[in-house]
Amino acid sequence: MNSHILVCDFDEDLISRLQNQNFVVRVESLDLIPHAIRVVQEKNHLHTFWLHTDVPLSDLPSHDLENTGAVPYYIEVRGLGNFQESIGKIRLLRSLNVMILIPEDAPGSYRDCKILSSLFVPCGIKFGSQNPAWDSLADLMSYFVYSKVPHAPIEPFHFVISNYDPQKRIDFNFIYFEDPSKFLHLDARGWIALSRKDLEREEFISTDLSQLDQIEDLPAYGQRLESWREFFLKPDGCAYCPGWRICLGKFEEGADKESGCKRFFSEWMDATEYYQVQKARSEVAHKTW
Amino acid sequence: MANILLTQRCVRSCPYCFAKEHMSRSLSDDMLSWEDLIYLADLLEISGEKNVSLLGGEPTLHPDFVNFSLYLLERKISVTVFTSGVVAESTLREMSSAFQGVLPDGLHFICNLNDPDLSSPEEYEQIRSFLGEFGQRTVPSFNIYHLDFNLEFLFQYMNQYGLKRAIRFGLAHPIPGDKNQFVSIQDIKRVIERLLSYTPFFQRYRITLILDCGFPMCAFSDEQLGMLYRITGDNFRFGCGPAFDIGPDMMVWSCFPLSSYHKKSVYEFNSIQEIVNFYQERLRNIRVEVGGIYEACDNCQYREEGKCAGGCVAHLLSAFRNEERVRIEEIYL
Repeated sequence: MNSHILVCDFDEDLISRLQNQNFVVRVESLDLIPHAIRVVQEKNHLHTFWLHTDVPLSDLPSHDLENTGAVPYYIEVRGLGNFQESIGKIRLLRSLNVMILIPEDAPGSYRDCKILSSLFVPCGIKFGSQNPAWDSLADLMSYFVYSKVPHAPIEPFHFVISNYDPQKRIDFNFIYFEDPSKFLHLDARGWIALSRKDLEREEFISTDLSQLDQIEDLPAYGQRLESWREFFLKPDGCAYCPGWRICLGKFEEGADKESGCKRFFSEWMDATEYYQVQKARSEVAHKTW
Repeated sequence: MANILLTQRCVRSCPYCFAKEHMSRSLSDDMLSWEDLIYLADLLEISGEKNVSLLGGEPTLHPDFVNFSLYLLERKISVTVFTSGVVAESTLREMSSAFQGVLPDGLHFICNLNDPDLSSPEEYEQIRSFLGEFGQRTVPSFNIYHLDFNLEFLFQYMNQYGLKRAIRFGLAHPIPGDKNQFVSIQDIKRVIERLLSYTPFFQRYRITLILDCGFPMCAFSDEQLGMLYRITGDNFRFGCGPAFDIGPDMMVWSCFPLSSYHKKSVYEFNSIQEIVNFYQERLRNIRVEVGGIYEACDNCQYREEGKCAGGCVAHLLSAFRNEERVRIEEIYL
């Protein structure tokens, strides 16, 4: 039995070929969602809808948002856009089970995440390049971790600091459905890839959908899951960075690591440890009382 | 109450302006950023503050003025905007559309109105357009800086545009170390006489008076205090602070006349109360040196009881600048 969650673009034929699977369904338009929900739930289970658009939040039709109900959503938009148009939608989003995902290269992405979080809308930054604006990213992370005022989660910071265990590996790509230990990506033919990027590059681990249950037995699968170990074979590589446990070498090709990714991930690591200490103190306090 | 300056830019050049010394030292293109606004909204929230004032310069000049206001309202913070009413047509249109559904309690304007003779015809038209659109949310404000001021135009505006039945009166104070037109200590009583000569109008139009800080209680006769009570009820005070201003550069100071006095970064404080306490302590130090603007302030029962602050400390600081430096050093900072 396949324990992975399957990620695919909405395709009625593909989804109907499978049974009792958990799906992350990617759609390009909100008005497709009511129909897509019916199709997925006929024989399978819905994990999340992932609306991918190239427009800002202000340009999404309000009416379609109202019809989305309690289903979990990722809405990937290019920022807030016109704030006055967005504000009504922000009120609506607070009543939905939704996370707004903003690509880091969208104009004002970090600022918009902060606005959304402060208005209690869960949100996240989606990494793209190897050289994001590290200072803005660090500012956003600090806001999420250290701000004393209640606010909504900002991903992937929330995922990491809430689930961090010093004894285990944590991969924040989970947030983007890119962790191959949890997610598999399917194209319209049912060919299987270990990430969205692999899918786009047509680098499939299997071209046989019936192999889904045996995917973990394939050598390539095991190699991918253990590929992080290779960093330890490179002298002075990412594995020797203080931020390694969170980064896992994702920004290996980035420029100016010292003042860029190394500094940022070290700060994130400190913030995570700070959170762990606070959490432990709070648990002790609860036990005392 | 925290006053947040969205921008240092202004559209007017009022002769009494007590902000101009501060403005002249600041970068005119300084604009409050979104990130800093969020920080300040958090600071207000953590301090339990539910109200904020947006100032300038002219706050509507900030390109995100409407967005900032909506954001604060969304965070359940009531907004009072201090404006000249000289608002660009496009901004006014944007405001009309965006603020349409905002509850009256959430958003007010305090419109600082000068005698129309001081405004150019274009400015005058812009003010009329603003009042036409937002008159019902607006308390007119008038700064007194000379003795022969005239209030009749305010009554006309109130009737014409349905302004709120209250007028905020400010006394123009000196800027220590700079020149502006202000009401001298000797003239305060005459200003009050002139102001209360309009009592029949205040009563006829049922207008309450909001006295800004700096009016000393003893400048009013008992009869004038009684008249003030009849007009305004017991809702008047002769205090000083605890409002403070935060600039677009995130510097904080006590008030415009004292904008160079113990200026600090807002990041040095953890709450609004810390800022208030800090400046109250600084002002208290000044008043330990000199009780108030009159000699009698030193032993005044009403000052000791907190019923009167003893006038604006800007007068005192101005006086200190013209004497030997014999006082505690902190006074001169």
